[in-house]
Amino acid sequence: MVCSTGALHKEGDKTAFDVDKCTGCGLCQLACPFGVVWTDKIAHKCDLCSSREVPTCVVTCPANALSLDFDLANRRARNRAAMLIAQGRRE
Amino acid sequence: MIKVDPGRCMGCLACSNVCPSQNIVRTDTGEARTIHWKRCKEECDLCVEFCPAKALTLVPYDELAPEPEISFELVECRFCGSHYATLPMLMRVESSLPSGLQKDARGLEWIWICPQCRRDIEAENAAAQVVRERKRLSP
Repeated sequence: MVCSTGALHKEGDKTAFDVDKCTGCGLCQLACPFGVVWTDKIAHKCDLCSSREVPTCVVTCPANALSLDFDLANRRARNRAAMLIAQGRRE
Repeated sequence: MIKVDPGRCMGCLACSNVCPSQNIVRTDTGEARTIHWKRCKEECDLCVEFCPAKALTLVPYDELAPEPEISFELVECRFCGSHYATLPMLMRVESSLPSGLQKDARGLEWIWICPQCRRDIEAENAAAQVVRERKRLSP
């Protein structure tokens, strides 16, 4: 929403990042309520290891505690957004 | 050379990041950020093209024109007190948010909290959730 070059954009369920278009303006970092996006000269954001089938954090977790579950992630994101909006309306 | 509209510039440094000849100099002193545009002879307009605020224009080279410089105070994080962004950048982000997202579930106005603290708060909440879940599941 704040990215003016389309470097950060939606690809289906994922927010994808095109590094060649990033200007490092830092607006995405300021617009993320969870502090997930990071910028120095360019933005950094977890892309769930887009070049791999399974992210490396899932593969290497010694307790097998991590898994990739889009349904769960989307459900959580939707719940969270609904909560935020409900809170905003109550204010 | 580059002409700057000080009313539009929000101090994001996109221009400085994309300039191939380091003609746009940034100075962060911790509490303030100064951006200085050197008089450049290039016909390149990368900074003009990439400015998210449309604050820059390419004008003919003029040896006598003063070099533009703008200073921004950096906003203080309400949690840790670190100076993390310019006010116009935060206003721009706030204005592009859908209504109802300015506050989080606990009523925190997260825009005025630095990204590092937002991340810490989120991590604490997630950890608390896991602990609650484990307590619920364990007999």
